[in-house]
Amino acid sequence: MAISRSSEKYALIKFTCALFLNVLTCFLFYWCLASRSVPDSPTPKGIKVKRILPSYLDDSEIWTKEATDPPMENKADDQNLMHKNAALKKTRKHEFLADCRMSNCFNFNRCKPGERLKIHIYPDSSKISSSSISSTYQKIIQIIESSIYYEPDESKACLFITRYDYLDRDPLSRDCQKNLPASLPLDYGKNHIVFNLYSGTWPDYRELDLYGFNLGYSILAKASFSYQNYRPGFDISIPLFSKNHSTRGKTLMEPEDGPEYQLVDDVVIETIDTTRLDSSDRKNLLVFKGKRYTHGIGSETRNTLHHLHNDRDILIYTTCKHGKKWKDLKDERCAKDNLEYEKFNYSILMANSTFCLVPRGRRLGSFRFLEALANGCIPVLLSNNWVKPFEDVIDWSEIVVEGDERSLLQLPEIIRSYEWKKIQQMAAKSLAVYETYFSSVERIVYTTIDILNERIQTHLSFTTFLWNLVNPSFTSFTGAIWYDAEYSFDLKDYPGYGKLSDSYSPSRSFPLSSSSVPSNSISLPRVQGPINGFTTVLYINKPIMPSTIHRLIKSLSKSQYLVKIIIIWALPGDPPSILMKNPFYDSFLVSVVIPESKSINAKLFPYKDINTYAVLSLQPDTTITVEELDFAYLVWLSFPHRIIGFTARDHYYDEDRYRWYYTSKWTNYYSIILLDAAFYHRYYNNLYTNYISNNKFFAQNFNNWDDELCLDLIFNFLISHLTREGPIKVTQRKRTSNSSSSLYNLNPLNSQECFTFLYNISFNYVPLIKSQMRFDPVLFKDPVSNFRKKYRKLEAVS
Amino acid sequence: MDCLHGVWLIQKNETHFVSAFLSKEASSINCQVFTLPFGCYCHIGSNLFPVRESFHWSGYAETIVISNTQSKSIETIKDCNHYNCFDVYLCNPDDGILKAYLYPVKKYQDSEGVYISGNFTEEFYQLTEAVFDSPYFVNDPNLACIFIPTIDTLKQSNLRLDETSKVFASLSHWNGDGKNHLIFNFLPGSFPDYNRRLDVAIGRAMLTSGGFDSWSFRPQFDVSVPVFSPLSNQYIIRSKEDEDKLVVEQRHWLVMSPQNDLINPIAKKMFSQMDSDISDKVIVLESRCDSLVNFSTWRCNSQRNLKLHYPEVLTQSDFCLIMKTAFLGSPLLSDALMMGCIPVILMDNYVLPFQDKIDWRSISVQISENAMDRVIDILGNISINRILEMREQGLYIWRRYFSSIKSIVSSTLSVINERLFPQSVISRFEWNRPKIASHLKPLSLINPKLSSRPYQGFTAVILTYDRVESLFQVMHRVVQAQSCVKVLVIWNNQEKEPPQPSEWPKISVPLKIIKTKQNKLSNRFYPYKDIETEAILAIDDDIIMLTPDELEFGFQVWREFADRIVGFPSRVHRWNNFTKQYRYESEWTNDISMVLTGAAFYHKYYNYLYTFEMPKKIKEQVDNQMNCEDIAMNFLVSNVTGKAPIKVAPRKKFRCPECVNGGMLSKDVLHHLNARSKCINEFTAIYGAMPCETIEFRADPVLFKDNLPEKLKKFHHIGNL
Repeated sequence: MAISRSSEKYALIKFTCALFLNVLTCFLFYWCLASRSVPDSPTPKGIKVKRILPSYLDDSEIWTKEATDPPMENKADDQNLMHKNAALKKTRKHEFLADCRMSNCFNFNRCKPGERLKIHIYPDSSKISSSSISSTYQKIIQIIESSIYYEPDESKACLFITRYDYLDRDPLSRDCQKNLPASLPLDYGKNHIVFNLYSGTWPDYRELDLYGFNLGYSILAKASFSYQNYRPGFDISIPLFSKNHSTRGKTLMEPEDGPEYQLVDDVVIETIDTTRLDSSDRKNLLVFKGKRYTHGIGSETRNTLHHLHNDRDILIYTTCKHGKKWKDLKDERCAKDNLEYEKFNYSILMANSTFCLVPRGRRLGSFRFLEALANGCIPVLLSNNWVKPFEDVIDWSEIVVEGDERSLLQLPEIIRSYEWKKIQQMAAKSLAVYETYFSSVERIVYTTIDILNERIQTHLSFTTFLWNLVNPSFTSFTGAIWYDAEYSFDLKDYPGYGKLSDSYSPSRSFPLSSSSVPSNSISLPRVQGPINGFTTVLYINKPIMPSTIHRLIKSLSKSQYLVKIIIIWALPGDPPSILMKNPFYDSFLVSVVIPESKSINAKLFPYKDINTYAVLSLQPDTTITVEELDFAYLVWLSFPHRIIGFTARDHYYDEDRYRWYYTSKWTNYYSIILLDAAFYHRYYNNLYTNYISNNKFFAQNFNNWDDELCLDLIFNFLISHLTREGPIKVTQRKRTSNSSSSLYNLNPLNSQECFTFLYNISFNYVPLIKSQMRFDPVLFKDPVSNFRKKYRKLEAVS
Repeated sequence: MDCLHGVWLIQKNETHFVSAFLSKEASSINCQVFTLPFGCYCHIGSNLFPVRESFHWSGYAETIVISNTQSKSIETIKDCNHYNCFDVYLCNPDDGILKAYLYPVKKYQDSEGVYISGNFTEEFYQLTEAVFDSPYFVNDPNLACIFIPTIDTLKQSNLRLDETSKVFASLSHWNGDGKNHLIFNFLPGSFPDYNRRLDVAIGRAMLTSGGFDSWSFRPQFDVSVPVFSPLSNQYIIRSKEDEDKLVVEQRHWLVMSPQNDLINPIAKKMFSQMDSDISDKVIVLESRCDSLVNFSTWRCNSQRNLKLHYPEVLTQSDFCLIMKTAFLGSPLLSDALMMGCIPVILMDNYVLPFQDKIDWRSISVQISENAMDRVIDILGNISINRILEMREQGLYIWRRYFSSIKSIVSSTLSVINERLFPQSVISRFEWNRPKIASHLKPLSLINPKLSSRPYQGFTAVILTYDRVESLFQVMHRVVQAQSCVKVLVIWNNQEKEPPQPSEWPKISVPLKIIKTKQNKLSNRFYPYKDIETEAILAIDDDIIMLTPDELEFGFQVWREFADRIVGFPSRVHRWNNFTKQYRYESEWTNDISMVLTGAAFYHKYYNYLYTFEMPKKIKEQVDNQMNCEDIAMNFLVSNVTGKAPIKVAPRKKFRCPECVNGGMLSKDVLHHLNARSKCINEFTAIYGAMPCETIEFRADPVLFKDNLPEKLKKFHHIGNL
């Protein structure tokens, strides 16, 4: 049938041709249509495709078999590459290998597929004096060394980083290390990452001038990269950050004072029309405060900025003071500018402005960039050709305004055209992206490593959406650097994203969700993931009467939210058979796991049996009631990214001894919730295992390992560090078992030692966040009839 | 077939190529159509123009002879970027949009009379038409910011390289180097080198091409586009059901290699090995099936004696391998997306179409060539959910960016437009519009973690009408909370003037009185510039019972949950199964879903939302009825965040201690409750669903009711009920 239909078509065409009496043209079209008339064409619903002209592909090599055989093997590309490789090998000293890509300058054989990236650091710290490493570079090294990426064995490593500090290659700068090797000792720098913040020097500030250092094949993670030299898919553009950038904690750049208020004696009375809107609630539209250069590279842009100043809502303050010899080069405006400059505090300026100008300096990158982001001030870039930090993964189009140095004067008009809503979104994104990827040296380094990891194991890449899901509405878990491709690609498996309660979800078409999102939603068959309800984990590492466990199981099984109980048998020998099979409960409810490792880490291992998002860590001899647990579980549903529990602890700073202390006293605050009875998200088991259990640095440096309280402290540190949010205490209850028989090791000396180790060595700061409130049932202790109350038993507990 | 002779009126707004050459002033023009041996033409002025409706397309109005001695354009400059090769001053900022000029069509011959630039291909014709139809088109070269030559360079192997460059050089605005010109190409390279960029010398012109590698691509300058597949024409109209079916239907193979002529011999060998070893998962389609069958429509596997129709065969596999042939870019990528076969990109350094814009990670799997042997492992580990998501998103991307010449052209021009006009930048999110589960939608812009600056206190905003005495009392109370930094009194009474400045109480923080022009309840939620803190305490002028401790504690709780309403009077909504209506509940219950703004902290951002973004209908209703503004605010916030408000401390009575029910008679109470219930139901209808969430907890100070001396407690004046 198909054949006959197409021959009809041919006949028609022949007829048409005859009419035309133009054999040549006709032949052409005959041929064209013939080659195109597909037997039994699948064109849906009989729609005829009207074709008039030949397609560009009609006689293409792509379709016709008669096409020339593909060029000699590899002719097209691989030869290209070979050619490039040859060129690379011949490279002379100091030559920049502009053609480097992962495929020709990186040795993939060093990286075991399917394995986490391993980074080796050399030379050994004993072989290099610490004075030749700047404090910033020390931070970078320290972060990698104490991360899960660290690999002490050179032969097992995939990536390398040296202790040689090439961060600052400007010989005029104090931090420039002068006695470093001129090239990397190992393998011509292959698989190495070199971090650099400053390259080039006065007067021409050449970007690739690394003060005599030859990069070889190494990957350059550099600030102030330009597109001219950036090797896409190979190098990484990092932000310029200052010495004060904190190692792991959030670097605050906001002004320390709140808004300034003038107390006036007279009360001001003003009439306001509440029907119109100002586009922004910040006082200034656009600000800049910084150095300008009267001469030389980069001077042009900053010197012209004053044209924008209007003394009303666009405020530009520059100073000519920089270096020693500024006076020799000053121009007629300097004196006045310098005076004005001193009057204003720039962090206050930034915090009170909607847009912040980020012009290039001598180099393309500027400190103003991170400062603006941190203040929720939308950066307006004036730095042509600058490769914005981490632009492989971060979508800057939602955050910055990219100006053009050539058309500076158009800026005011451009930024005034932004609408209120857009401004709010950009400002909020600035804050969020700063927090997520730039707020500490650790986050900058981790983001760098993650980008490299995605280049090496390309198939494990997260989507752009996920990388940029730093949307502030999710107060919980933000930033792809904390996700785990091996755990899940599905956001609902991470704390804070899934709709966990059973109530139906409202339509959120209004107002900020884009109503233009395509309505192509169809119901796809989805595979069932983890379910609602909670799994209780009983970790048993001290002898305990089986009857105690039985009693607990019996009482737990009354909970309407309990899905499963997992007993982790960490004692030597097999668990008593009575635990394994008991007619009293069915095997679906209880399972016994014997962990491979008997270390305390087994308590927080991501066991496959945990198939609920909520995990309840419970001490086997607990006296807590099911009613309290159910209440705590309902609270957890509202805050699945936090630890929700009963036993609260606090920390404080002793100003006399300049130290932080841990305390188990009852205070008006708490910052820690112990795991004797606490709910948390199952993903934290993965995180803990990845970041703590498998961390070689941790294992090496930590003696007091097998201590439950210490484990709880680490867990609290870790979660607060990642989420920047504290745990939540529920109900009045202060302890969950009779202290005399408690299995918890509550040795106060140990706990302080553990606490000190954590803030001094492993985290470098105290990430814990204090809270002054706890959650009680709505009618708790209210003088109303007990019958009215849902949680009656809770009234009695104290 | 004959041409439609006669005089045609060509309208300016007609999507007709001829109208591209109408002058700016003339809205239409008469055009005499007649038949020539090569097709239909019409006269406009002294020029001949081809007419689209004819059966043929060939021949041009004017033939230009390019002599042998004419010079070429300067060589293509490798270091070009937007800043050193593009003249922004040609673009008028007042236009607010890119202006693109299309050269008139001419025919070019060499001195021997052999054509250099032949007839248009269908795709190039559509391309010029797309430019013309786009909002960027301008027909006056003096107003133009970029110039698009009408010389069909879509496929390099059709071109005479040097002569084409000479043609470019002869263009009126080329000026030797082609600055601000845009050249369209799909398939660069030709036998035997197959270079990854158009080998025609184009100087400083920008190149839009389908086969860049990361060496030939000039970032911030060139545009990498899809290689258009003419097969798209057959599928562009496809029903929603068919597409849905395409997404969900189970597929036969895991992975397919549908290409002929792979150039990597190792890949060739490896996949044909897999084809025989794991034939249930892998299928390799060969080039040489039946020599009579055209490759564009058939694929074969001789081993299994299969002859399969293309591109339908692509619907039989979850994944399609895209590897290097002589060309880097090929129409296969488009076909694969079109048929829901997830592309597996096995080409290092290939610059994917619209690479900076399209989120390729969400629609394809990229595997580096050195990991080729692990393809089956990697693909086998991808969950079915992810496969379905990628496929669905891939279809969306295909439709939006691959399916027609028009979509390719308008996306290209919009990329260039974004470079010139930063205010028109389209975010990557908007480019891709990922499908997001409802609970993931970017909802609120407030993150407690980010926005509650610790040093800032709160601004108390008190709405008042004429209860001056109790207003003063409330003011005194509020300023005793140490975080209160300012008091704003909204004087909503137009009949009566507020007390003279001297009559106001002296308080320890700045005080400002704002008179409104109309007595509207919504005035309490207006984003007054005087509110400089992030936190607002909304408080009624008769809430005199809250202690400073309670207020201060409430503010501390708000700082932890800055995206929610945090306050004192709580209410709940209930579903009545009998009336099928919601009911407003003011009894003291075990659960809460609203916190009234008679005494509550919230973020000032919500004032903007309330005033300018909330459905108008709700605001009008509130102002007309003089009621329910607090319910409206609760709906607004919960709808944006998906979260419940937080009730602070046990207190449930707030007005004067003596009076019961705030002095209302029981009949009034009933009336009041009914009106409130009505609001809830009406607002729910406007939102399309009930946004409020119910919770069973409230916030108390850590040591609340603990058996400790009161002086040890930070907040001890926490009242009952």
